[in-house]
Amino acid sequence: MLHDDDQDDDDDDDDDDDDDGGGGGGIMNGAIVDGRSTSCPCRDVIRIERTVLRNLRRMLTTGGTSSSSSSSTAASPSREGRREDGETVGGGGVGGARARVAGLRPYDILSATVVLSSPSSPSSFPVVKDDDGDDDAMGNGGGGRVMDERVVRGMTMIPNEAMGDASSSSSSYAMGKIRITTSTPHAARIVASRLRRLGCTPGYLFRGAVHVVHGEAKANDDDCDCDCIDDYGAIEGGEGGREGGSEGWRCPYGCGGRYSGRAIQVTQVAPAAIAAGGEGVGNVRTTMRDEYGGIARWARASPPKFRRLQLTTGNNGTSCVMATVVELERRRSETRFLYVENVLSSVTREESARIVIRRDGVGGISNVDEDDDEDDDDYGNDGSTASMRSGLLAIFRGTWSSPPPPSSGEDGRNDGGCYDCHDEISMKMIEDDVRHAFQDALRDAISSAMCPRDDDFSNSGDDIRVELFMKPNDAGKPGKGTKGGKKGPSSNDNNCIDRSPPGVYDRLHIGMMNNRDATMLLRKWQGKRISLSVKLPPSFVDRYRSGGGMESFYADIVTSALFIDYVDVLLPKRRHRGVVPRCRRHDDPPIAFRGTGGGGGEPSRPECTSVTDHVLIPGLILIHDYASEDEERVLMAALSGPHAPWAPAQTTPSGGAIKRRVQHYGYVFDYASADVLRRDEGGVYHRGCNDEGVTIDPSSACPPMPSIGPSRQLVSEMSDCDVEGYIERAVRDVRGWDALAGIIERTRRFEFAVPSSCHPHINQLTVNEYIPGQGIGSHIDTVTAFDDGILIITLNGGIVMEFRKVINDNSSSKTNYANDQNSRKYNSDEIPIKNFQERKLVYLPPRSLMLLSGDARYKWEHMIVSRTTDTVEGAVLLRKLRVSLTLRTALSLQGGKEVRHTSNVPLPHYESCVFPPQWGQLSDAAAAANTNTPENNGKINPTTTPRPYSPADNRSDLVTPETERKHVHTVYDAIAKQWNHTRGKRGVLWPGATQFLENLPKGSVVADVGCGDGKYFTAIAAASSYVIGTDISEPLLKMAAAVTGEADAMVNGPQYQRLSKEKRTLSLRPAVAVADCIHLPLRSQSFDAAICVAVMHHLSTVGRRIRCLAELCRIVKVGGLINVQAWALEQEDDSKRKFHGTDVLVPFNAQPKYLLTSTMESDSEHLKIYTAAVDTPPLGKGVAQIVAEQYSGAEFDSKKNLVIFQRYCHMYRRGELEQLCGQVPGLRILESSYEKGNHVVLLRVT
Amino acid sequence: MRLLTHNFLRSNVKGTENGYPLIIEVTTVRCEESPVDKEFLLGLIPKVDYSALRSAVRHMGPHCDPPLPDLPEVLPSAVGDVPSLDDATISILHRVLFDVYLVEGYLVCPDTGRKFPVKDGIPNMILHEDEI
Repeated sequence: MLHDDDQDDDDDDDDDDDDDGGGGGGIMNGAIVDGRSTSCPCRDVIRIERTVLRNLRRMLTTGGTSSSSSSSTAASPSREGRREDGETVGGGGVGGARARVAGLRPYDILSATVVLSSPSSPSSFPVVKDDDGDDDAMGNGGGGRVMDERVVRGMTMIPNEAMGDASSSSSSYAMGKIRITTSTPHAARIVASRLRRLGCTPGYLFRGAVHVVHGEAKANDDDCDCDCIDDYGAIEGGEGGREGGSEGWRCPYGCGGRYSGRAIQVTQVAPAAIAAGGEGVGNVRTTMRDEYGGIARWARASPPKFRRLQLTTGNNGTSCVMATVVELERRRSETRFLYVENVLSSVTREESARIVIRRDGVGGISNVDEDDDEDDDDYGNDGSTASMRSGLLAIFRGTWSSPPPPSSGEDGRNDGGCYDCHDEISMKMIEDDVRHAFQDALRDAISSAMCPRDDDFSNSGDDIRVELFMKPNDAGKPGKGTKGGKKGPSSNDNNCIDRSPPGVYDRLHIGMMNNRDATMLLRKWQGKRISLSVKLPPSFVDRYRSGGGMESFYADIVTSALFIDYVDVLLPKRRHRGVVPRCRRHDDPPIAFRGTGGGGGEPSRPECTSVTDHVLIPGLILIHDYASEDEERVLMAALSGPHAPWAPAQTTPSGGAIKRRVQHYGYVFDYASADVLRRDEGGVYHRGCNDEGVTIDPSSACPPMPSIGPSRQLVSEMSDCDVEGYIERAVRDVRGWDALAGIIERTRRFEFAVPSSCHPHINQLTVNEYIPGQGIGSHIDTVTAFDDGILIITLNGGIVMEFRKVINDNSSSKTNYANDQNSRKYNSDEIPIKNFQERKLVYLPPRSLMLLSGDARYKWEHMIVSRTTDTVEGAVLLRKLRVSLTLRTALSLQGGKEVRHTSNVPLPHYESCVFPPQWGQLSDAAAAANTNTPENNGKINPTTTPRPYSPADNRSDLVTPETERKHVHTVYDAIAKQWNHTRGKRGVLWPGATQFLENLPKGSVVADVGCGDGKYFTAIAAASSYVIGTDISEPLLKMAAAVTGEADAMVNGPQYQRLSKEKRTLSLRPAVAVADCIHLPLRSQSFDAAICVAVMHHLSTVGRRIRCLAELCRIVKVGGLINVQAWALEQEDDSKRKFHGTDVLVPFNAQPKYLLTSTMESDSEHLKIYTAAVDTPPLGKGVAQIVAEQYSGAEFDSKKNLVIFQRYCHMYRRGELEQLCGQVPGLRILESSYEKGNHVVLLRVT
Repeated sequence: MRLLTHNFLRSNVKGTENGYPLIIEVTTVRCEESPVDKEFLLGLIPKVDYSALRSAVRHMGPHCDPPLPDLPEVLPSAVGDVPSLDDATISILHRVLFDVYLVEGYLVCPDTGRKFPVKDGIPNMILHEDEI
């Protein structure tokens, strides 16, 4: 389980040996990839790229932190020597700030990309093959088995996978160029000049990646002076250049903006000598394009924390090359990022940090366990190690603000007038050096962990591209002003750095090339500590040591137990930004990766080896697919909808709050006493065995159990078929409450194999909502409160439940259960320390039903670990929101005593078939009247329960409430122009809605209800559909009409001159009408589809929302689709909006220049006022003020000269839209999702 | 407002039974020629209420230049969903549906006589509170 980087050193040794065999010229005439066979050429390419990158870094950087300090000779020692002499700028001490500024550090070279080029003519390049796949047995005879060879002749490769055997010989292609990407133009300059000086050839860089074959074309040596390096610095990535301190974005390398975020396409070291036989070498181009039109670029990821390399392909290559290019692109774009938190928190937070400094050759890597001791001073031979250690700690803790001066007293070093600047910058660079040294070490550790030697090669991690980024912990205080730091001494004067502590380094991203590797890494390292041996960069060492001895120093660092969040792994490749599938089915295929076995040691968290069927817990029965998907969807809509009766927050006896949301039906479960609250005839609640009645807040009176019939009597007379039919109807009509009742009734009737379960008397339901990451402590359900036979239905998201068998002295007989006070306490988050004999993990898939009875009920505690992923048979599953229904039988108390469970009597059913239930809705008296007497069991006083909503009975819903008039209609009327200018014209469309429109059949007629300024008209027209848009705001519609060309005046306005051609052609299609979405003036059943985007959240009553949905349903044909989108209460973390309630006023800052025109046009009455205002200078101010006074809801911001309007918005909770849709007959929810802060439902009219 | 749009609008004043088709009172009409998209048109025809279109053409026709011809009483037999039309009919239908705009005027509810104003080509179908 521990990793170090020794292995990597070995790798390098091997590489160098190979080089030695290859002859000194450094030129490859023909080369063959390592004989190890792989199935895909891309893997070779990527492997070569990695090696090239490593070689580059080693070659070009002085005092690099690369771990390859092996002394085996590089291929051309003389050149190395030349570099050492000639390239060190200034020639001064290595520690000098100038030298470091001008120098190149390993991480300045970001990537090396092999660019595939045209097929070379086979004749000129003898195919070299390796018959037995061994390193040593190489011949350069042509022909032979082509199948498994990556034959490279100057990197001429023969792919064999897609092409098949027959065509392989003719489909060779060449890797023509290497594109080196550096972090800054400056670095590019250095790279270019050094490569030129070295007379570097690609073959030189390839060493280690390919075996160099003794070749005949030695003449090519002459081609290798790269004197045509001419330019550099094409800059890609328009997002770059922002200050590191600006919101949202930071340099992925944690440089605080110093690199200004740009990957600069610099050098293309063309192995033309190889690929084209002496065509000249070393073009350095600014172009990003390769000859097939493919474009390689760094792309920002979203969230913008890191970058990934993207290769866009052109379209004129040969199919063979294209296939490979496409495959490469696929692999690159597949990079999956693991987000690791607290990687160094053991270093940064604990007092006794796990860092040991040792000298080269002294000591070894301490085998650190999770609980080892620290003895820092073992290796500290002198004081410098101690100070280095503290310096290192300070760096990681972000407190490295005042390092000790260099111990050697060279005063002349900083003779300039800006000592501080130089020092700050060099400090910053040292910090970077250290950080990157750490990253390199970790990267090497990862790659060696992922690619164990002697492992099956096809499973090896050769195609891993690991990119590590550390991120300052404190997002609020990024390092400021460091932007110019790399540019050299000349620019430093302006860049004295404000060194506010950048925060703690303890986060990082690890980019893996594919899901499989990411999964593997996760499995291996989840919850583990890693011991790293970091070679300290010389720059850092020089800070603390004088004399510049040649010794190397290593820091042995033990990370914290890694908690790797599996961010991006399970999600499919995103097509639309921000679309996160939510209420989808769970049967998205999990990662189908089976590990090769625990090579990495014991995982800290046991995997779920048992998929339930194989678990032998007596009394546990798990039934898969107990509920159908349709049922699940309807239940979810009801249980997580807005009317779901979530219980008031409760606390545990230990004082902790129950974090997850719960609902109780039938009887309240009181967490403080871990018991159900029982009512007596007088409506007094009783808690536990104490006979005293406790006063309970009446609001905690919970809703009754849902029932499918008016009384238990009648229900029990129903046949099973009746029940099933009832469920079917309820699901079809999306009546969640009824479906829930049906499922409960079905559960009561379910026949388990175990006869002892007494679940038919179920009278209590607890709904738990587990957000990913939430769990529940180990517990046994209160014995005195509930009978044997507990049923748990899992909805929406599967979860692994852990069972532990309790060893108790004499827990053999059931009579002791009641005395087991322990069992009553830990319905909390604490796990009592006990001895557990056995531990079993059971995966509860969604829609499953689990029965706990007998031993499983009484002898095994169960719990859910708080985490966001579960490992099930080697596959890692991302947890989703899980809603569990726990169905239990609450017991009554007899004679004021707790009785043995054998003689307990279930409490009477407390049920209702009326929707919806509410907390505190029934008064105690009514509740008492309705419950405990069996005679009137289930008969609820109708006056106390609200009836289901019926659109017809509420005329007041049709009238626009004052809130909407004031805070919606008038606001949009007033701000129409600005709205159009700042929102609509930019055309930021929700991808989900656009996709929806694209998927419609051509020629559809679409109603855009609440179309505003016609934002989606373009998309609709592009999809060859005809749109009719309605909106309540006439000014907005005028904008829309202007777009469509129906209003002459607007069309000729200057802002519409720039309309795209596409939009101009729109004048063929759309149409608008002023109308209220509550009351659409559209023919019934006449539209093929409808969209209603960002409208529903402006409706202020439930009735109006439903009414709006009903109108949508009315105008769309049967079978047609409706897409409804509304603002979500649950905003994304990085959203600038945070809503603290469901009904809020959202300000809109209106600028007077827009107000003037838009309002003038719409209202001639106001025109005079505004004209008067215009006449009164200053122009803008007068308008803004007058407008603000005009609108009762608006305020005037005199400082900014703005009118602040308040828009009413209702933020929809998760599931609320679905719940509303469920109340409109004829609407069927096909899909619901969350997109960029909005809830989206896709409906079908039935 | 095109006649195609008109075809989908109806009145929903309190007391209307059907509210369709709306009678057109013309003040200003605009004609703009546009290229014929036959495929698109044929796809639309089945979704159009033909009798409503005919009546709209009768209201609008005299105000156009040249006047709109009367549409045939029924469209030629439909094959499947897509009517088989000759080119002449198609160009007439295209003109009627796409090229003729009501710029100013009124849409009148056939049941109640409520007039919905059309201004700048945008019909205002908003109801007063007492009409809901």
